[in-house]
Amino acid sequence: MPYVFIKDVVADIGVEIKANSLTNLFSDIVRSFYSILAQRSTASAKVKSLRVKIKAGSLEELVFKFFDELIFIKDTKGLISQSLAQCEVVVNKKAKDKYCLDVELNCIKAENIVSRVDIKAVSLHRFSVKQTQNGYKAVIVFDI
Amino acid sequence: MEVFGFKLIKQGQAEYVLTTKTRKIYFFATENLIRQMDQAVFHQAINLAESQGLVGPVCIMPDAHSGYGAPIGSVFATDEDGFVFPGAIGFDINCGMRLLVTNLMVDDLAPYLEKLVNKLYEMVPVGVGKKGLLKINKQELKSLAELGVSYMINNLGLGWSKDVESIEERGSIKPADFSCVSDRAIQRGLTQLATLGSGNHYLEIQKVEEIFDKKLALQYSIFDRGQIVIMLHCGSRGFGHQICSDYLVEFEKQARKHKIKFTDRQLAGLPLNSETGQNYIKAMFCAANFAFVNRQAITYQIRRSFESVLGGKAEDYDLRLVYDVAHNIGKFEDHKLPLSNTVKKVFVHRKGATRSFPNQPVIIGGSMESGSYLLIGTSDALLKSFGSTAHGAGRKMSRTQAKKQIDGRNLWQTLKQRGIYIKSASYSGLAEEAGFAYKDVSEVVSAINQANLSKPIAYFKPIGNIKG
Repeated sequence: MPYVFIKDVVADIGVEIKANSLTNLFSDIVRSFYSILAQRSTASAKVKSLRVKIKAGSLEELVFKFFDELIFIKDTKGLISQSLAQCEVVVNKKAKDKYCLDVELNCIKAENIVSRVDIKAVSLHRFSVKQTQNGYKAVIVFDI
Repeated sequence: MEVFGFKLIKQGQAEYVLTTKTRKIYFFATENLIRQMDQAVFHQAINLAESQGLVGPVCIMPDAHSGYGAPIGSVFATDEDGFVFPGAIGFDINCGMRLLVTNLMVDDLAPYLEKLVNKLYEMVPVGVGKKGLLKINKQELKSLAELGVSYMINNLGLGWSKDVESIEERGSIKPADFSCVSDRAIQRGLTQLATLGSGNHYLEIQKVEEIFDKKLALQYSIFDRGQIVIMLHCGSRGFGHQICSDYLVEFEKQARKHKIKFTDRQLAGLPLNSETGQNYIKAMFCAANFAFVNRQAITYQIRRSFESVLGGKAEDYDLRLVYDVAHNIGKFEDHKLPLSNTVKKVFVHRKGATRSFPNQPVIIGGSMESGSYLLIGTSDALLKSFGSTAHGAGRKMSRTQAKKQIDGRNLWQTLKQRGIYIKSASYSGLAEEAGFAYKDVSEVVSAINQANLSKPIAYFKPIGNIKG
């Protein structure tokens, strides 16, 4: 499993994501996000594409902004991001915005999911995104 | 007593103190409830106690459990030259409780109960990504966020003029400045008026189960066992969540820039008088006002639902507001510092804690199985806990654990057999909110009663519940 739920988070939900590449990290971020919000989609659910571009000065900031964007899309467009159709992460350590993310999200309308629980926000408590020997590891606690 | 290696000294009935290097932490709880708190509560309370710019003690309520940064169920204050900590107010700014009373008895409502619950579920959208039925534009959102409930009643016609008299701060905290709110927060707020949200938020039809103080109960139009009341638990929705998120990031940046240290990233604080600190407070008050108007808009939908299902006018069923009170908020208040004779203007942070001023109603919601309480604030609370008390039953089991122990459909069926009809957006979410995942709300109320932070007036049990 690309992500696991952290056991010692009492009232909220925490996930730990391990991925061997940045592309897979963002793919697993979307999958974990969807699995918190939805049990499954309904049979009639149509997939809608949505392109998102985000720039950030660090990988942590990029992941934080990406989650924030997924929550924003959910609340303002009523779309639940389910998976990534396409993902490109450009890293330029010399630039001010060292990380540029360009993704195409596969989204489903909120009324076409069997919901689980809503995410209010990403907390900074225990929040970390680190490069490891095998790739990347992210720890995120969501406010529910 | 010793808990997780921490030594707590008993100070009185349901009062224990833990002394850290810099200040005291008061636990207003029985030994049994303290032992039910998870270890992180103690670490987070110590982190708070050792944060910059605090005055007086840190107070931990009997329903406390670990949160992010500060425990849920914590209260502390900083003086005017002190700091403000967005993470110690929480994402759901002015998450709070509202209680309405009816003149109906349980037998009067019984034939209509399921129809009423279904109607409320239709009128007050719940769950993931749901938009509200009451549409507002950006100018109206600005006015609602800056002026609060009186604008909603006088300009949008959503409520009765007397409602404002029964809301903390009359439903409007100042100074609220919409220019301090990001466009992202505004976009989220525009679609979510009169929505309940998800998680532990609910709209509940309850019956009076027990009255402890008949004289006070009558003052709030609660006259007999079996009487129907309506309880609501929700907050500032995406508008408030985004404001907190935006400022947390900015606080962390500014704190690093000014070499201000903090023990947990979620506990980043800045001086109250700094530009970012001031802007946060003005934006946070906008969110607080939005939460008041959200609960007011839901009240409007509740009254319409009664008219639709039972006929006639909402006034025919009384449906007056008993009180509306916040339990996630930061406010400027005058306090005599605990164990001191000095009265100071301080900024009180309440995260999962309810204001409990003398003669002010306090609403404590339990799980959907165990029931809820109406209480009254005390003068002792002013002396001991910055005028604060508990806010709910308090979680004792994680969502994942709860879901492993019970299937949502089975729980729904069991509760229906027990006379509690639930309409929920999610069976999975329902399982996560099962009664056994929470502490015993009656034990929490007993603790705050023993500590004299608030005194019980009446106890309610649910018969219908709408859940996200």
